[in-house]
Amino acid sequence: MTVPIPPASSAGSALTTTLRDSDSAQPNVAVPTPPPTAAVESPTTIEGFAKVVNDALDTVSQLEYGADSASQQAATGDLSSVSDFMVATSDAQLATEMTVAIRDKALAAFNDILTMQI
Amino acid sequence: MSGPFHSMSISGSGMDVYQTWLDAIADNVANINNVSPTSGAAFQERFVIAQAQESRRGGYEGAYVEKVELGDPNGQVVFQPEHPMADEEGFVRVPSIDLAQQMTHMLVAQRAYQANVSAFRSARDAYQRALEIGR
Repeated sequence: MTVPIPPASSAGSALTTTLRDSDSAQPNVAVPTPPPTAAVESPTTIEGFAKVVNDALDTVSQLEYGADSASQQAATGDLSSVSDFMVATSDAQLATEMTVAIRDKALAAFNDILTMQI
Repeated sequence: MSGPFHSMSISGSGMDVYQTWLDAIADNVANINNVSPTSGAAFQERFVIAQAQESRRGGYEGAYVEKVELGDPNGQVVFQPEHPMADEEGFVRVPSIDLAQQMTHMLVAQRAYQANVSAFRSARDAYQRALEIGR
């Protein structure tokens, strides 16, 4: 089940789709496997803004995993508490919005540099 | 349980507690007219014991249901000689649950659940506003 994403962040849904595709590249099983803790593996240590983005992506994929398993419990009738489901999905939605906000800012900075007069 | 949107999980734990309380009240009301023989125990009222979740690093962690206590097993002994469960002297045992009290507890639990939903909603709105700072 897809996490509800506000219409303003249509590009963000493409982002999450990419995340999902990389997850489903692993053997396809009924229960979604938890995403690896480090979403981007790099030989050098990541620091600065890249680290912020990396951590945010980690958080998003973990929260989306939580929302996914809550949705699955709701579909199979194993859901014990409705509030847990709503908290998980709201968490995932806000995390996605946060990622989109960070991406927008990074892109804006990149574009500013591109259009800089030399 | 911790994450970037922590106050939402705190409100969620409050909702869980009040959902449990509502369940217990529903159970009490459902069994309020149970009749048992004087040799056995009457239906015991359910009391939900909630506690604040202790935080290791300081801060707030919300509430949780510590346990469910059971009320008086003696109940009330009532004279009902026509009842098939009555003993030789004509007595049966009924639970000592006050329906009016259960209804007021239910109102409190329902309102408290709604209060937690309100707190959840304002936390979510606050986070959404925070994301709009950069726009």
